[in-house]
Amino acid sequence: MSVRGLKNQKLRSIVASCSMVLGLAAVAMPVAHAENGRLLATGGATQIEGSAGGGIVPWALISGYGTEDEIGGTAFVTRVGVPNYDLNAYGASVGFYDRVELSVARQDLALDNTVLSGVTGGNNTPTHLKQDIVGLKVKVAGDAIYAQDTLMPQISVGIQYKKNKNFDFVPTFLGAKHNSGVDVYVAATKVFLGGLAGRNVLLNATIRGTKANQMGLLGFGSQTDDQYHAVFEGSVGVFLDPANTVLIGAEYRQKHDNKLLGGAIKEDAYKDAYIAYIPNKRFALVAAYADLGNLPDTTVASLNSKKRGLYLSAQLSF
Amino acid sequence: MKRIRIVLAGLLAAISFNVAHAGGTTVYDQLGGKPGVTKIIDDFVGNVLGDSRINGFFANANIPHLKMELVQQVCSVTDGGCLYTGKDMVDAHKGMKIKDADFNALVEDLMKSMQSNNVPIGAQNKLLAALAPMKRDVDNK
Repeated sequence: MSVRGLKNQKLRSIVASCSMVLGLAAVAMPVAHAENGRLLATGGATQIEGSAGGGIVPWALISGYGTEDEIGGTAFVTRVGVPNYDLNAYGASVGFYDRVELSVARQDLALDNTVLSGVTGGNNTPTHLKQDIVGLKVKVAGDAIYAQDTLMPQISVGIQYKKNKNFDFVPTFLGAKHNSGVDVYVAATKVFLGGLAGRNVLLNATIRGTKANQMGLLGFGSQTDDQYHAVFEGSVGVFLDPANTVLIGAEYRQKHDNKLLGGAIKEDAYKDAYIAYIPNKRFALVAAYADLGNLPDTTVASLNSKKRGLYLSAQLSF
Repeated sequence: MKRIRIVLAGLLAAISFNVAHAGGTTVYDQLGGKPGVTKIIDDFVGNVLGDSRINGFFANANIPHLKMELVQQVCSVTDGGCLYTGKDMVDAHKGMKIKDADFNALVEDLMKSMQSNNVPIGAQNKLLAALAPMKRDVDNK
C-alpha cells in the first residue's frame, strides 16, 4: 500500500473514531443535563481504557464534574503513535452523583505491514486489533480534594470488562488463552493543596488484578500462565498555576509478562511523562511521551522491539 | 519500580517538609497581612454576592459582619494570631442545606479573588488547604 493509501486509511480511522465518540456522547448527553458543580480538574482526564484517570492509569476520581446530586460525563479520543503501531482509543463515560462511573471505550491498534509480517504471512494489508471495554467504578471512601487535614485518600474500586474483537488472528497465534477478560482494581488518589513548592500535588496509586496481555489487545492469559496477577500503577502530577489549568507529571504501569509464544514475546511496564491542559470544565487536552517497553516485532531476531512515542488525548466533559 | 519508589518517597518527604515549614513567614503574612486579607475577603464576598449560583444564601446576611468574621477566620487558620469568635461551622450552616456544588462555587469565588489580587500561588493553595476540611461541617447540614 502506498504512503498516500496509508494516510487515507489513517484519516478514515480518525474520522470513524470521531463519529463514534460523537455517537456515544449523543447517547450519554440526554442522561447528563450539563451540571458541573465540581472544581476544575477534579474529574481527571480519561485513561487509555476509558476510565477517569491519567493517561494509562485509572484514578479514584469519578468522571465529569457532577457533584453528589448531579450527573456528569465525558467523551474522549486518544492516539498513541509508536513506530509500527498506532493505537486509537475513543469512548464515553457517565459519572453518577460523584459516586459511580460507567464507561465504554474501544481500542483500535493498527499494525503497519511489517512489524508482524511473521504472523500475517507477509500480507501487505495493515491489520487492526480491536477491543471493547466496559468499565464500572465506585467511590467507596474519602475525598481527594477536601480532606486536607488527613492523609486519607479518595478510594475507588473498579472493573474493566474487555472483549478482544480480533482474537482469532494475532492473539491466538501468539498463544493467548482467552478472548475476553475482567480487570479489577483499587485506586487511591489524593491532592495535596500547596503540597510542593506551593503547588498542588496529585498522587495516585492503583493496584490492578489482571490476566491481560498488553491490556488485552493481545488477549488474556497464555498457554503457561492463566492466573490473575496483581500489578502496581502510579501517577504523580503537579499543578503549575493557581487556577489548576496546567498539570505536569509522570505515570508508571507495571505489567505481568504472561510469556506469550513460550516466552519469546515480552511484555514490559508502560511509562509516560505528561502535560495536561484543562482550560475549563468542558475541555481537556493531554500530551505525553510514552514508553511502552517491548512490543512484538517479527522482523527482528529477538521478536521484540522497544517502542516509544507520542500520546495525545482530548476530552470533552459535560 | 525501585526508581519509582525512590521518587515517590522523595516526593512524600518533600510534601511533609513543605507542610512543616511554610518558609519562615506565616501564610497570613504571605496573604498580605491584615490589609491583604481584608482586600481578598472584600473581593471574595463581592464575587459571592454577584454569583447567581449561591447569592441566595446571603440574601439576609449582615454583610459587613460577615466580612469581619471571614477576615478573622482566615487570620486564625493562617497563623495570623487572631481568635475566631463567630459560630462554629456546623452551627453557622445548620438548616441551610448547602450542597457540594454550592460549596465548590464559593471556593471558586475565593480562588477568583485571590487570583485577581495576585496572591502568591503557595499562599493561595495553603489557605485553601486550611479551609478545605470545613466542607464536611458546612455541607448538607
